[in-house]
Amino acid sequence: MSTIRIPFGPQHPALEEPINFIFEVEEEKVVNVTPRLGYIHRGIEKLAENRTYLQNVYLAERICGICSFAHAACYSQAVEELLGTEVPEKARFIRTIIGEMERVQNHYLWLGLTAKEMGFETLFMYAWRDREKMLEILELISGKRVNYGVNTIGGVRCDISSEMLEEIKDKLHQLEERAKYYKSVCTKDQTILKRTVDVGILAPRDALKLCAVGPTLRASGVARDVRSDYPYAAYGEVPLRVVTYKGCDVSSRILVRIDEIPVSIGIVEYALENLPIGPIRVRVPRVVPEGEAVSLVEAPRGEDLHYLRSDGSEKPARLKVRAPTLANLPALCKMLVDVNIADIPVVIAGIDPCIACAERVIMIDVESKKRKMWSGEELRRYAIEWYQKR
Amino acid sequence: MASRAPKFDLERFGILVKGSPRHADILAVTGPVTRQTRSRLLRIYGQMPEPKYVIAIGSCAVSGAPFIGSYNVYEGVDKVLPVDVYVGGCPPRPEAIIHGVLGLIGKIRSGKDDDK
Amino acid sequence: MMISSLIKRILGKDAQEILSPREGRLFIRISREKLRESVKRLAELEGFSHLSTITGVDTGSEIELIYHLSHRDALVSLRVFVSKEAAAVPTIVDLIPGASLYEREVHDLFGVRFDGNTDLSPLLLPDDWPEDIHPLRQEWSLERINERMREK
Repeated sequence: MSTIRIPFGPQHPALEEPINFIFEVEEEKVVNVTPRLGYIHRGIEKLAENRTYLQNVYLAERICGICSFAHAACYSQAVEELLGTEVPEKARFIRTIIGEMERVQNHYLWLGLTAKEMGFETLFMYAWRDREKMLEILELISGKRVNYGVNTIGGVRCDISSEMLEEIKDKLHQLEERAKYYKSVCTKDQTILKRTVDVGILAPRDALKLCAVGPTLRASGVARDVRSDYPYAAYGEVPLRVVTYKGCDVSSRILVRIDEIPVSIGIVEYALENLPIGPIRVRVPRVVPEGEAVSLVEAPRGEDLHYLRSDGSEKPARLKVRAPTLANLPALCKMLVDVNIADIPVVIAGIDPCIACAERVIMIDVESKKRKMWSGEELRRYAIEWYQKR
Repeated sequence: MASRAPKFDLERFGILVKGSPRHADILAVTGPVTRQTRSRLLRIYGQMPEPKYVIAIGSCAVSGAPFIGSYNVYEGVDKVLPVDVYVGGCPPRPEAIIHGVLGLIGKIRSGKDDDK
Repeated sequence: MMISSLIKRILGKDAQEILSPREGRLFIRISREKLRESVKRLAELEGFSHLSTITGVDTGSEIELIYHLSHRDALVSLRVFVSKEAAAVPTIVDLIPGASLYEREVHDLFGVRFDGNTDLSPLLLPDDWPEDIHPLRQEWSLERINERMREK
């Protein structure tokens, strides 16, 4: 039995965080995985030390295109803590609303991508079409579909007026209905079940030892969610249900996210119903007194951490960012062991990475030293055909 | 680093997203070019058959912004490859990207690539 | 706060300084020698779930390492100081396997060694990155790094 090493140098059609995996395989199964990042390392933490606190809100927003609001909120909260600023109540509610809208938008996007991995082009198109409804709401409120620019230090920059409410509520209702449809598909369709149930197993003990976060952790039955554990914004005041599933497989990871959609919509509806009156921001000084703060938010992919240290000047002494995907990489490597090569794309997609599937795969036969190149599409097609034969 | 052109109904203009550079006419680069991706980008560009074109999509592909000054980011794709069309925006709206792609196709069709 | 007194009891004299700037946050200073023991005791607490990350900070004279440990009731940040010349601490990957990528990241950006971690290969920096440049150390300003890379 020969062990073959497969470098997996991926790219994604819509998201562009390339990552490299080296797979060691025996026959059809993966025996070891090594991650190699760095393709999209932009040196943001160093840049942050050379920019003012306000400029860094814009930088934080661009750490990730999909978790953009989460990062900006996490960062702003850290600065506000150092300033001793209390953000107005209305701003906390709006942060909660936009954060949950971002979550829904992300989960729809991700659902489409995962469906695409399994060859469900139609489901992918449906999910992305449905996602548009949320993007329209976000554009109504902020003027942008992504990178909303809603957060600022001291509150938010966009208000939600009563004129917007009818359109928002109508679209939220549609999104909630569509989620029911997707749940039905993902729990009943035989092909999806075959490719996701008992695939990519991550036992709860491993999930914890490997420090997984977010839906990836919750799909292994562990009820940890920053919104519930360390409430921020208005999360202490809105109805929140932490969704867990015990399957520990890709199917569970799908179901956690689908179930989170109505929870998020419920939070948004409640927050809109109970939206406080008042200002949406307070003015803050440019200079931040000495101190340190750790800010945590539950981004769509899981726990996001920003550590901020100030030295009494206009620029941070240190900004450290730990985005959720990095936390889930060791768990991903663990769940990839013992899967079939054909399962690789779906298992990777299952952690909802800020990086995704293969653009090209090089298969090296260790014994004959022959190299063969596969494109990401060929790998996807191989996986679909492999499952059709079973 | 190569990305496929986004699926904003570009297919209705006769544009397909291809998985392999060997089958592509246009290389769409989104996002900032880092040191690590530079060599891969050059390799992918090298594998494309002539005539070939490059679109830089998004402010970071156009100029490196907001990461200018970083130790790991080039100030635009054109520091690495010849660029035919620049589409600014952070991110650019789908309409802007389509406008850029169609603009490039117009440029190709009108023969303005004679000096390539 | 209950969690604060619980941790004081568990760490005892090893906890050199305990700060709680707000509810749900604890910052505790410990010595390098007591790092592993402290991490082990905290990780065994009921209610502990995971290591969120390891933050490195260049204070000018030293490298400060902050281990952010997530407990249900508080985020407990353990801090350790090492000299810049001999920047090394024992690894904790055997205690918390999920620490692997965080140690690699700090090694990349600060040049800190994590003794006992057999894989400190580059995580974020490019393959051709000079070994002596640790970008988040203060002596490496953006200008200085860019100038050095131009010379290549």
